[in-house]
Amino acid sequence: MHRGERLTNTLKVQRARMDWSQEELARRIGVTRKTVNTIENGVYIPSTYLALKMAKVFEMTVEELFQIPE
Amino acid sequence: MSSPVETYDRLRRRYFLVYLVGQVSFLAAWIARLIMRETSVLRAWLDTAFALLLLLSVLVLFYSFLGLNKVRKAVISDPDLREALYDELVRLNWERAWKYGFLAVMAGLAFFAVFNFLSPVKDVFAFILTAFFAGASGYTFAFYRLDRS
Repeated sequence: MHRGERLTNTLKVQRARMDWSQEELARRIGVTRKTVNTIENGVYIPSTYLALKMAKVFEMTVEELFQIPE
Repeated sequence: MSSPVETYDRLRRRYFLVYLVGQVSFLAAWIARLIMRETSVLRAWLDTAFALLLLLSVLVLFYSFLGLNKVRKAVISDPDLREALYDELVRLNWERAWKYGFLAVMAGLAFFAVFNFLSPVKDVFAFILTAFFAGASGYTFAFYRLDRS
């Protein structure tokens, strides 16, 4: 992640939709809860692989999950 | 009840903090003793006190090393645990910590150069070793901070 780069995401909304905690999402994508937390808060931008894994568990596209802010 | 991933993550972080404390206390005692020895103000009783502090730090390091090794063994034997506890953020933080370790070595060598300018150094090897110790501690400290942020 480079300085100044930022992504917005709908992770919190999607988690609420599925009724999953951060820990549950972490378990499903094979990372720690802390990693999910840093992604959700925009502190860390995940790799393409992890973003695709997240999109897959939510059954949506990466673009629906992550957006470049205008 | 939290998952095994979170349990081991917390345990690993706890042992890592102990490891960091051991490293920093070792480095502090080592540097203080080295400077006092070089400037000829090191008394015998103080030397003994530093030796005890260094020994205590080594014991703390040994304890944390055993703990981290225990966690590592449990983690590598379970593929799911291994995947989660060595996820991309952890790997990235390890890589980023290297940069700070390198900077700490540079700072140690710069300190050595300035010190040598003010008072010519007798034990060059000890100073170079100190720069490497500083690098190791800088690396550990950087990882701990990155992991917490």
